[in-house]
Amino acid sequence: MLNKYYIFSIIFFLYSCTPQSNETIKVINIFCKTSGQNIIENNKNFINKSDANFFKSYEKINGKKFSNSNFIVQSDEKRRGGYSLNLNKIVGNKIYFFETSPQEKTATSTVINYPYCEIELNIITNNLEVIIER
Amino acid sequence: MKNKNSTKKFQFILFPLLLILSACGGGGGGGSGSLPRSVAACTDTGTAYQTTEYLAMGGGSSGRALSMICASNAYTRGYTGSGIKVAVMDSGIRTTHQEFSDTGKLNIATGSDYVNSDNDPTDDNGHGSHVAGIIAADKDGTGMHGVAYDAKIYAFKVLNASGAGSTANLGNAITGAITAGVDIINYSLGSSDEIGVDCSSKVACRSYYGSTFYDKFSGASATSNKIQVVAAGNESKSNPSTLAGLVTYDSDLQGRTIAVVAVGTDGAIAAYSNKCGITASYCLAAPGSSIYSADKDSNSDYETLNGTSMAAPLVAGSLAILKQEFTSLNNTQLVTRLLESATNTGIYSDTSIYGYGLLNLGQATSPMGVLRTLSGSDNLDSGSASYIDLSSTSFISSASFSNALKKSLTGKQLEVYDSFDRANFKVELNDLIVSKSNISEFNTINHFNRLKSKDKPQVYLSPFGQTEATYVNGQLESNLFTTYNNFLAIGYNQDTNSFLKNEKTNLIANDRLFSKNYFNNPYFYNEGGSNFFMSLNNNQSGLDTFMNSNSNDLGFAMKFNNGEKLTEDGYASNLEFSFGVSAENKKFLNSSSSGAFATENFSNTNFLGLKYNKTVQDLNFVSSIYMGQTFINEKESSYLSGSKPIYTSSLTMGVIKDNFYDPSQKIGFVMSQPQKVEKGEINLRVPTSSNRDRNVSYTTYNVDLKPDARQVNLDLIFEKSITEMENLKLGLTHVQNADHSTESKNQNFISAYWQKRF
Repeated sequence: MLNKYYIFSIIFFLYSCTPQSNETIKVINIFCKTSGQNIIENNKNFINKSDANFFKSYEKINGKKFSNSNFIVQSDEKRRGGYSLNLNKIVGNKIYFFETSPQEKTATSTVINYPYCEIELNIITNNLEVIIER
Repeated sequence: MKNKNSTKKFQFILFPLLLILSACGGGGGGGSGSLPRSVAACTDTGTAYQTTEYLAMGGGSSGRALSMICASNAYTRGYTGSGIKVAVMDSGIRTTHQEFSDTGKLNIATGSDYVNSDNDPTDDNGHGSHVAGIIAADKDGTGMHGVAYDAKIYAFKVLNASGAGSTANLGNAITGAITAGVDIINYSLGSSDEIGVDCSSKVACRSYYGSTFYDKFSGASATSNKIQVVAAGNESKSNPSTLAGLVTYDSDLQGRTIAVVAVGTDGAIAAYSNKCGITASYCLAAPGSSIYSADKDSNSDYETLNGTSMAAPLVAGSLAILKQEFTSLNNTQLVTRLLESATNTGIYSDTSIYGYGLLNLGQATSPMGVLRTLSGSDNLDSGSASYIDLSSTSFISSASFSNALKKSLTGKQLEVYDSFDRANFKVELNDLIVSKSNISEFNTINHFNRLKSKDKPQVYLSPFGQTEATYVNGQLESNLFTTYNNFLAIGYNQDTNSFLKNEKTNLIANDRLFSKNYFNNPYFYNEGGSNFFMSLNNNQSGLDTFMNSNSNDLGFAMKFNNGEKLTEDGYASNLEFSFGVSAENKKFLNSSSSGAFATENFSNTNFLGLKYNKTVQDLNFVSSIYMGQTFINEKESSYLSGSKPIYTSSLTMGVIKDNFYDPSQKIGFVMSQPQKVEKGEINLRVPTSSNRDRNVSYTTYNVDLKPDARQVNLDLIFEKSITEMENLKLGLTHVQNADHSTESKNQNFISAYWQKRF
C-alpha cells in the first residue's frame, strides 16, 4: 500500500509540472531567412532565451531582430542557396519545421548559408523539441 | 676617354682614315603569350590605397581579400574599373544602399527583375547586394569598397528570396545583359551537380540544360563576345559545377569564361570549395571566405559571407580593371592575361585544385615580359610592325637644346607594349630623355686642371717634317706631324685649332678639359674614342678633315685666310673663313639616340666659321663664331619624323695681355657662348593609344628645340711666372644661364694653381 501511495504521488507531481498540462505553446512572431553565419553553436538546432549563449546567437542574426525574440531555430549548413525553413505545426512540446530545398538543376547562389527562424514564443521552456522535416 | 693602348714612340705616325659603314640592325619582332609560367605571390605595395575601407572586405589579419590579390598595385597604376559595365546575375540589389550611391554606379535595365517580371530588381535575399559590393562598392570612406570601385553595376534579378531561380529566367537575363551592352557577366550561382559527372560533353551538357538556356549562355554571349565569370560551387567536389564547367567542352566559351574556386583566409583552397579539376585550363582561385560586403536589410547593412560566390566577383572586378587599363587587348586576351598572371608557385602549382593559380591583380596589371616600342605599323599584330625593347630606346640630347627638349616633352606620353600580349602601357617621354649638360664640365677638378701647365710634347725630326708627341704615363696622348713647309699636317687627338696655332688662350688655359674648347670647330665632336685629323694647307687656304673613331663622325672644312704673319714690330691680324660639313653617324648635334629614336648614318651639318686674331704688341685679341644648319637623317621606323633643319651658333671673344705689369705676368679674359640652337624643330611621331582591334593611333609632338636662355661663360685667368721653376695661375669663372636655361643657377668658380719644379 505504501509503495502504491508513493508511486501515485510521484506520478501526480510530475504530471502537474508539465507545461502542456496548463498552457499551449504559441508563436507570437516569426521571421525566417538564411544567415551567412552559423548562429547556433550548441550542437542543437535551436536555442532559447534561457540559454546563456542566446544573446551571442541573437547578435549574429542579420534579420529583423524582434525585440522580444526568445527562440531561434537553425538548420544545418547549406552549400548553396535555395533552402528555406518554415514553421509547419506545433504538437504538444514539439515544433515542426519544414525545410524546402532547391530543385535539381535550379540556379542557386553559391554561398555557405544557414536557414533559420527567429521566433517569439509565448513561453520559454527547456522542454521543447524541434523537428526539421525535409 | 683617350685611347692609350699604344706604348711605342713614333717618329712618324700615319693614321688611315677609315670610313666605317655600319650595318643596320632590324627591330625585333614582338612575341605573344610566351610568359614562363612561374609567377610568385605578389606584394601589396600600394600603401596609399590600403585604407580601413580597403582592408574591410576580407576577414582575418593575413587573408584580407584585396591585399591577397594586390589590388592596391592596380590602383596605384590608376586603374579602378572606371567605365566598365559589369552585370550581376543574382538576387537583385538594394538600390538605395550607401555603397552604390556614386553617380552612374548602379544601372537598372528595363525588365531587370526576371523573378517577378518587372523593372525593380530589389534584392529579397541579400546575396546579390553582397556580390555587387565585392565588385564595385563605392570607395567613399565608409564600410568597404569593391575591387573595381569605379566600375558600373548592372543588376539582374534571377534569384528569389531563398537564393534560387530558374535557368529560363537566367537565360532571359543574359539576353537582357547583352542588350544593355555590358562588358562582363558575373554568375555567383550554380547547382550541386558536377561537370564531367552530370554531363561530360558539349552535346550532353546542352541536353542537360536544354538548348534554350544553353544557347543563350554559350552562343548568344559568344556572338556578343561577353566575358563570363562563374563560381565553381561549394560542394567540396573534385570538379566545378556544370555551369562553371561548361567551358571545358565548349569552344564558344573558351577564352572568355573563367570558373572560380575559393581560397580561405589562409590562402589554401577552402574546405567547401569545388576544385578546378577537369576545368583547370579555364579556372582560377580567389579569396572567398569571410568576405564582408553590402547586405540588403538597410542602406548601411553589411554581412560576412563565405563561398565561391564571393570569389567570382573578385575575378569579375579584376577583369573590369584589366579592361579599363589595357585598351589594346580584346576579351580573349584579357581573360588569358588574368589566367597567365595568376600566382602558380607553392601550393598553387597544383592545377587540379587551383587551375592557373591564385588571382594576382598586381601581376596582371604590370608589364609581363619586357616593354617594347612599336614602329612601322598602325596595327599591333601586323607583319610590318617592328618592336624594340624599351630598354634599348633612349635619347641623349645635346646640351645645345636639352633644356628645350625636356620642357617640350613634359607631360607627354608614349604608349609601349609588353612582350606577353602587347598589352599597352604609358611611359613618360621625358623619362627616355637623358640631357647632356655643359654644367657637368664645370666642376672643381676641371677648373683646377685647366690651370695646370700642359704636358710638353716630345719633338721628333725627320726628313719630311716634325712630329710632336705627348705621352702620359708612357701612353701616347696626342700626336701631330707637320711637314716643314706646313703643307701637310696629320694629327691624333689634336684640337682642330692646332691648325691655326695663334690663339694664345691655349697658352694660359688648358681647355681641352672642356668638350667645347673655345676656339675649336664646334661641329667636329671630339668626345670619346680617338680623333684623327688631316690638314692640307698653303699660305691662304687649306682643307681640314676629321674623324672620330668612337662615333665614326666625319668632317671636312675648307678654310681661307689672309695669311698675314706677325710683323717685326709686333702687329698682325689674321682672319680665317671656313665652311664645311660634319657628317654624324646615327646622331645629330652630338645627340645620340637609339631604339625607336634611332637616326640613320650621315645626319649632316653644314657650317660656316669665322676666326679673327689680332696682335698689337703684347695684346692679343681673338674671336671666333660658328653657325650651322643640321639636317637629321631620320630612320624610316624611327619616332623622329619630318623634323626641320636645326640652326645653331657658338661664339667666343677674348683678349690676352702679355707683360701685365711686368714681363712675368699675363692675363686673359674670354667670353664664350657654347653651341646653342637658335632655331629648330624635331617632330616625334609616337604611338599614344590603341584599341581592341589592335589598331594604334600615333600623335606627332612638334618639339621646339630653341632653349629659353643663352649660356654665357666669362673667364678671367692670371698667370705669374715666379721663377723659371715656379709659377702661379689664378682663374675666375662665371657661368650665366648654364645649359641655356633660365632654370639653372648661375655658377661661379675661383681656382688657383701653384706649381714648383725641382
